[in-house]
Amino acid sequence: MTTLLAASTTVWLDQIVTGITRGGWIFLVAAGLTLVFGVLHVLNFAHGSLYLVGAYVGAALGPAFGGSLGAFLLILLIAPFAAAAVGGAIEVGLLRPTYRRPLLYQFLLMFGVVYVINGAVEAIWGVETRQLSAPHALTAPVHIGAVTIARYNLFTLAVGIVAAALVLLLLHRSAFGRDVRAVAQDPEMAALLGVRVGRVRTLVYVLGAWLAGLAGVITAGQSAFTTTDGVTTVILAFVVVIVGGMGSIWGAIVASLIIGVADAVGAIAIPDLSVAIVYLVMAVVLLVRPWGLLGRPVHA
Amino acid sequence: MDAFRLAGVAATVALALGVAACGSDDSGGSSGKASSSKGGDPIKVGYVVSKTGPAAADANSDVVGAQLAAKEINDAGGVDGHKIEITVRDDKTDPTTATREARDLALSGNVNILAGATVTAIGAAIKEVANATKVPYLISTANGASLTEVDPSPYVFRAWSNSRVMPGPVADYASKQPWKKYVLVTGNNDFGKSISDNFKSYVQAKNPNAQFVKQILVEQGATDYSAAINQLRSIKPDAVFLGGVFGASFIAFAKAAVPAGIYDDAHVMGFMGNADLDAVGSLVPAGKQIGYNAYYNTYDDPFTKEFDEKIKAVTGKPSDGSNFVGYMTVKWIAEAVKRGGGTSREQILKGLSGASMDTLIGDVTIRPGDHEATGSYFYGIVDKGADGKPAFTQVGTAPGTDFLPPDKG
Repeated sequence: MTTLLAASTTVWLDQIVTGITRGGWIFLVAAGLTLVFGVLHVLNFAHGSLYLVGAYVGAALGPAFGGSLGAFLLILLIAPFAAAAVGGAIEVGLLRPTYRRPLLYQFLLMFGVVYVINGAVEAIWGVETRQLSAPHALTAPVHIGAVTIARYNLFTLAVGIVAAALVLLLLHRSAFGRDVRAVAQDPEMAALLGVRVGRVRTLVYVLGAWLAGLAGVITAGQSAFTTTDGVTTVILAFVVVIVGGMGSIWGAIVASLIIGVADAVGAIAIPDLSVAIVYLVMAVVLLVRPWGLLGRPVHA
Repeated sequence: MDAFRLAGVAATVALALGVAACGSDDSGGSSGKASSSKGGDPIKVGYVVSKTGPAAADANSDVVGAQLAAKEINDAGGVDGHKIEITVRDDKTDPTTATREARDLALSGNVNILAGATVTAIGAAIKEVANATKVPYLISTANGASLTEVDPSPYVFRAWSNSRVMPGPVADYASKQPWKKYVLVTGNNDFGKSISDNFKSYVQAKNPNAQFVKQILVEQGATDYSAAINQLRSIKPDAVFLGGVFGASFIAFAKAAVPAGIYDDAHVMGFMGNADLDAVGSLVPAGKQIGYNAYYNTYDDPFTKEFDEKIKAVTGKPSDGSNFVGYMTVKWIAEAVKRGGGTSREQILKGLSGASMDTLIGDVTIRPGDHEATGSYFYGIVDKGADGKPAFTQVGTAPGTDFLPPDKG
């Protein structure tokens, strides 16, 4: 309680705004995972490793591209394609044969993939902490009234909003999106209707991997990372997917904002328990609404 | 499987991953047998470090330093004819794995001594094995004072310095500055709290005007420092001490704190190595960031210059604190064999207790009572070096004995 009273109103406002912007980052981390689950029904534990690929490639490109805003934006677009390429190889080479097999095959396969990718990342880039320097144009703070916001956080929120809009448009306003929804609902029927199910699955997994890579590059610019960050990231992403409702993009958006604000406010209100706040949110949602905030209950 | 059950499975796996990331503990083992001490027998060193995990870079540096020392000793003919053989095992930052590896080295590998530990939890696991197998254990880079202070073991010794000494010299430096308003940014764990508390008590003892107005707890391994930054911006301290905030966490803090203007008002003290300097050295304002570590390659001393060249020849990179502590660890083992008169476990135990060596900061002793080494830490101010690039400048230290309780031995 002392801590609650000690923080000034400005700090509280700063934290709430920070939490909203952090929600943008959390959505980026979780978007690819929820997309892949929603369509492929795959619990993609390799998501965190694909995030790492994006982060490492982004950090490796940084010195070569220079520190301008244009160079940074270019890296932001290019580096996730490395994750997308790895994702494509995983789906075509490894996942495809498992869709008709018991779920345990996918579990074991994905765990194996995590170890292989993380090992490869360590072999290529080593175990040292890495980061990508963000351009000055994205680092200065922005003052809005009494509230001060890190410009990079606003940038992250903007990228999160754009990514959410594009994914939603792609799913609900395009021919490809129609195919994706058909495959998600009933792949056999979609195939009978002429949808190239294999191609749709591959492209969805590639898109999910690209989004994971994008989150990795964003993180590299904001802070720093090591090879262990893939595991912590995939845990957070799963929490968002569970809280929002498995496979629901809108659910992931809402869950990201709730978790972002809860985490930021909790860091000041109950700092001793800050590590547990995200899991407390998940536990409450699982108790009250086990299918997630915007998910749908499925009856056997 | 429906979505509901999948959600349950996903939640369980997510929690399991979290628990696995935190690690678990184990203890036990049977008693081991001492090696012979015949002339020419190798000195087998079982080196257990966290080559996988967040401290992997430190673990690798530790091993490089240890292997360099072993090569130098062996090239010079060994210790009284005994060559040093180092077997490195990766504990994967998991105490259970550390226990298994240490036990295997002690029993099947029949090592003369165990060494290593990159983090304190791993050191505690190896300590249990040392107690059970009666094998001497020399802690390398793990700093937790609890390893030697809680349930002291006749088999456990430390190669350089502990968490009491870590913040000592930088606190000494801080107490001489005109800084009054301090904030502690502390990793929310025993280690972070311990070094933060020690820093505070050292500064307050030497500067009665120092006011510690706030302690901000941050999640261990955090890379989002928004909450801490927002509070610091509101408090506007003269000095910030980061305790238990290192590696990726330190870099994340600096990257958030610079644009937020924290360095405009405050000097920031944090555990820093060369990788941190590379990452944020040109970002932080000159003279406002102070690093602390077990060693800085810019310390003005003949040993440092020579050691730095030796490490560069091996790795192509400047030497760092873990290189140095690993190097000292094997030097201690050689010294213990000399003092003890042989390579058996009993002789090494006898040789380690009370051993003394001339180091880059003068004589350092492994105290016979608490088995703590009297090695110290260094501080360095991040500024432009001779080549115009960021470097640790004005590097200084203070005797480790200033920060250790009296030895009861």
